[in-house]
Amino acid sequence: MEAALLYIAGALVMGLGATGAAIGIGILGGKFLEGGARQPELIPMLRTQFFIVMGLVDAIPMIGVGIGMYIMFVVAAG
Amino acid sequence: MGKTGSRQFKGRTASKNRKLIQRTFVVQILLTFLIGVGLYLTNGLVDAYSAWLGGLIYLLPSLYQAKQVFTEDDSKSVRQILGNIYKSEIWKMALTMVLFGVVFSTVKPIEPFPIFGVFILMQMVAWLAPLFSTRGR
Repeated sequence: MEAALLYIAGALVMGLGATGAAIGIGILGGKFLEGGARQPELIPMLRTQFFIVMGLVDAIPMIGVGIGMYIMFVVAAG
Repeated sequence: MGKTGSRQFKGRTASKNRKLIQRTFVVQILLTFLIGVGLYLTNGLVDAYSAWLGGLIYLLPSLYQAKQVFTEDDSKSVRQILGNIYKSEIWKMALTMVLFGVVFSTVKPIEPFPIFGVFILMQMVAWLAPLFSTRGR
């Protein structure tokens, strides 16, 4: 029972984190499309900014993935 | 801006951007190595390789993503570029999950604090990427 709850906790950590990242990166992609359509000569710069901000947005879900994996593979298994 | 001028501007910007990303990766690799060495000297081998693994779990998917994003042709449409970035992001997440899974299921003993500490630190260094910009020098 306790192990099952731990697996659910790990899944929730990963799933909720991924939901937040999906919303953030979706908005970011929409703005990138708008900016690129308005000024195509700025695409290389926008792409770098996109890359950097995407790293910022997906940092928390990535950490969540790590902690979720730790809960599943080490805490629940051990 | 004419067509030739626009192409030159794009080329210069792309080269600057690549340098910025390369500098960030160099800083991250150096930091991972130095933290690992510091932990080896103070806490022992388990903490050191845990820290190196944390850095590696961050760096491998990120290097893959950067390669996918920045080796792409600038003449492609915005939609194609965006699709490629999204694909690379999905692969980055999948690679990170696989690497965490492999490390936690195969490497024993392992210390969670150095792994997550270095992993989170790498994310924070990526947030500081604009500071490594060569603009204005």
